[in-house]
Amino acid sequence: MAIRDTLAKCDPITKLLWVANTSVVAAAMRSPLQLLFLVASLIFCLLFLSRANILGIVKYWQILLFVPTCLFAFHLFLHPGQELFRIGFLAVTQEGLTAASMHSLKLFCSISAVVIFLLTTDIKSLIVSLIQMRVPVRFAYSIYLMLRFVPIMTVEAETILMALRTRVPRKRSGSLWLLLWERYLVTLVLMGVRRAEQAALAMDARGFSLGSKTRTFLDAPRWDRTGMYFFTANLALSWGIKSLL
Amino acid sequence: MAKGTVSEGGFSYKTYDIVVMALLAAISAVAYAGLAQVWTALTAATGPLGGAFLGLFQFGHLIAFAVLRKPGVTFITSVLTTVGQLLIGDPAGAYVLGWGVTHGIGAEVVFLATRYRNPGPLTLCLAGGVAAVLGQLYSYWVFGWEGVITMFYLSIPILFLSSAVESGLLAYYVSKALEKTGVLRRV
Repeated sequence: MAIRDTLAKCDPITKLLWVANTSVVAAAMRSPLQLLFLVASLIFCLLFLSRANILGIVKYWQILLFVPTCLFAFHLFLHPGQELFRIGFLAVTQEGLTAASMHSLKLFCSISAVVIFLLTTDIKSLIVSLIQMRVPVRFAYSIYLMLRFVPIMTVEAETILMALRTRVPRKRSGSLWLLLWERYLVTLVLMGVRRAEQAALAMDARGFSLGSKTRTFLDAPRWDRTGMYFFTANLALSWGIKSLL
Repeated sequence: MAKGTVSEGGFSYKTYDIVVMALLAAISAVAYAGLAQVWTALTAATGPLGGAFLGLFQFGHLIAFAVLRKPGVTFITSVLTTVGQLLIGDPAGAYVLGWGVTHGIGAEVVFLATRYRNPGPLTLCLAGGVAAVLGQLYSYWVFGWEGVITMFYLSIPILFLSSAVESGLLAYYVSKALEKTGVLRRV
């Protein structure tokens, strides 16, 4: 097995646990240096343990950078203390710089872990893994259903919006705006509820309510030692960084 | 057990209930994914007061309760929505799940106090407000607002009001309109 296939070979549950561990350990860290080491380990995972391409990463640039940058800017000028330099009338202090780095890196680590998870995981296999782990079918399957509905309802929402646009004048008063929003939401939820009725009927006809004991899976993901090694190594590394640095 | 009913852990939901929760979570996740970009950026850049006027993050699970009126529906829909946000890609990373849990608990407690009776505008507004305030306590931890404690205290009543009005009333009007169509009678 090539080392770049490591994350693709890990089972989804292990990767989900890794995301949770990264977020928890990032929140528990007490210095920017510790967090920088965690960022370095995440970059290593992305570049050397996965086959995620640059275009895939670029798709998430806004999520990865925008909010951590905003949080950094907010904390940078907020904390009083030993002044390092000034930007116009705003003073940057040592305490501000530390707090800004801490909070923005904490968020950045969690977002990066999620992005790596999304780039290397098939969500359908995550649902099957959850059911195999004896998570109640209704909870596991509701996640899958919800994700199936996202593109359907996005198209539905567009259609309703276009239909409403064709029926009203270009210049709209405030009360008309409110009325339009109410109509839009009601129609969207109504269409959704109707669709839910049909889906529920179809699912019952196919034996969804029988539960998980008699369920069989096509192409079910298998547990692999790669996932266990990856998770154990990351657990040791992240908590090691936290306690040693 | 009734046909088409899945019962695990004391709560009993029909397949229809599960599908409706998933569907409303999908609608909310799509709506919140856009809203969350604005809210998280505003909150991260300007502190607790930045996003306090944006109280729309409760309408999905409040509508779910207004449609299904069962214990646990609000909590499950709220958590499911944030799972959806997480899997679509949320600017708060995995921390977004915390808002799902806190919002769900907040609204669920209010519905539990009213014994899950038919929700009126006051109940829905209160549920939206309480859920938002609990969520703000979690935001304090995520964004590290120790340095802006006055702003944080000031943001709580504003957020309570904005969420009660924006999400609570919206959920009420939408559920009333759904009731008129007759779709809720079949639930």
